[in-house]
Amino acid sequence: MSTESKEILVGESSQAKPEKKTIVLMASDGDEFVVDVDDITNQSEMIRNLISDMGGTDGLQVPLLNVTAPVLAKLLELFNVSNKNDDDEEVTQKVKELMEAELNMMIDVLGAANYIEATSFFDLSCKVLADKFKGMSVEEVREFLNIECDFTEEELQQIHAENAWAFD
Amino acid sequence: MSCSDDSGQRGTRINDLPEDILCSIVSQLPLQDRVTTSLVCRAWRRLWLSSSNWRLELQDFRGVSNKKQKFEELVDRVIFFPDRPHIHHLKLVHTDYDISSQKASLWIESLLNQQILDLDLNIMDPIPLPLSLFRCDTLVELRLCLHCDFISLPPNAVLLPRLKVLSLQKGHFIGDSLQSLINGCTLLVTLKLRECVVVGPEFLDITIPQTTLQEVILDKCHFLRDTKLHMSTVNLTTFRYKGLNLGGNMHYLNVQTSVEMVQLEPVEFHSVYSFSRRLGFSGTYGQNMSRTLAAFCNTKHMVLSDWCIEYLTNVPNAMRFPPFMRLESLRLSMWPNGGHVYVTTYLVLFPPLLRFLSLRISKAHREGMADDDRLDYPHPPDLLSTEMIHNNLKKVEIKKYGVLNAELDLIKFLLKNAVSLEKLSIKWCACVGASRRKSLRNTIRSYPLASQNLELYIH
Repeated sequence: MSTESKEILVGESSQAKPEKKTIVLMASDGDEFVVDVDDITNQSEMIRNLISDMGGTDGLQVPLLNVTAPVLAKLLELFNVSNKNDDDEEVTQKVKELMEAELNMMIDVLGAANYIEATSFFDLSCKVLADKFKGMSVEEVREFLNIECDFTEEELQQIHAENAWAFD
Repeated sequence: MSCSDDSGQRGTRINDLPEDILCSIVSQLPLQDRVTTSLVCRAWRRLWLSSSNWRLELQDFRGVSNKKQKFEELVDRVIFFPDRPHIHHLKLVHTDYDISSQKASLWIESLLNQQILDLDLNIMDPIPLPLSLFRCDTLVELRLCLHCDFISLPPNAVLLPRLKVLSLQKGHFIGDSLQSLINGCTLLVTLKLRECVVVGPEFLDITIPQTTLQEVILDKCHFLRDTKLHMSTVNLTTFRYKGLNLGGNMHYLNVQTSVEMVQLEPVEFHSVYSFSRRLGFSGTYGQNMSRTLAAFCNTKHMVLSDWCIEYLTNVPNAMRFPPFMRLESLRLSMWPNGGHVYVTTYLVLFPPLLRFLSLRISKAHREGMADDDRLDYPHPPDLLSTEMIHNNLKKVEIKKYGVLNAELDLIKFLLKNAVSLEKLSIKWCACVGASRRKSLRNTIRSYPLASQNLELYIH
């Protein structure tokens, strides 16, 4: 691909398409991921702002201290699906599959998306999760999310009383 | 972020996420499910109340005893919930509100202090709206159902510098109040007026000068008879009109070259219309409609009601609109008579890029709709026997087809001339009996076809 771009550059320099630019994302364990600038700025507000603050992308390395390599790899894989499709159907499906197969990984991805401010992907993932427990009983929600009930019986009764209209 | 939990499972658990993420998840749920989450565990107990996005409707309390009081308690809790980020989006539908209560004013005041972005209020009895609502510098979208309350706004009372979407329903605007409101929205993109009335002692034009304007929807509004509508046309892409008196309002429309979607669905009282025609105003109806259509010469999508077609049948030889060089889809309703078939054919024939056509044919259930009652209309020129290759038309659907001869001629004409037609579907009107359907199906199938790969669906 790079030779092709250079040939164009020689031919008509003023109109030439710029070579595809990349930056490096560093996961918390030091692994490096080379990503296309357009692809990542399309998703991440944080990186978009960072690039504009730095005044360019040359040699830019972004350490993501909160994100491990497997999580970052999964997140970039999902961004890729999202960038390739005009509508959200495909990526919604992939997030759903991830949630069913590896809920913990999906939760990590959600945290990472929030961290790099990938707003629309983040909202979409929240919606997938919320859709899953729409209509569930509280016991089912706890079981699905693997949460222990730490309320006393009294507290539960109090909450019931506060929102009686919703539970009766 | 990864850690091991007690059950030995690898990875992060949901409660390891920061509270604002949990809140974002809960915010995606409908009200009932949000409340359920308060029972999950201590960390989740008040999560649902910290959402910045609400839709509170009295009807969700159906079946709850003492529902009005319970609903108002909930609204209080939500709006006045202390430690949380501001409410940004709120839809509040309270159709059993007691005007003597002061609650609504307090709600609105609090929301304005919370820098609300998107507010949708439908409160009945109608409440006096505080002037501060019209001077809010955070609002981006404002939707109000005013329940026929009279709105009086002095000039310069309104300043909504960020507002993009203004949608007003059932407002009765006194004098130039509506104009004041429009003027105060300096960045307006979408204006939607539904069942609004302008009440005034004199003729008032409505001007929407904002160059940011993209979409105008006027649905069953009552303006004064000679109200003229002036709109900025720099970026306008969508114009929809439903209701009475299209001719009156649109009389002075400028050419709207930017509009890509136009929907004109005037309605008319049959008695008033036929009376005016008898008084000799038939030509005026036709010319006004013709001129109105000409204003949208660059549209890509057009929806026309049967009354648009009816107006034009008054002037078959004097229709003055351009051939809609960019029109791609056309949906229209028509009556089953020769005049309407002529106007429809005329509209379909000339736009070179037209790909999709949808015709809905209504029954002649009133006097003046069928050919026998239309002897006083000008006789339309013969268009259907002309040869005119149509290169782009791909899909045609005809609904409630009642098989008048003129309608059959139109189908024959389309089949003969549309060389790229891929699909023609016809749904019968219920009044067409089984044997008649069969013979018509055979008739249609025997027509010469211009297109090589046509799918014909005759239901």
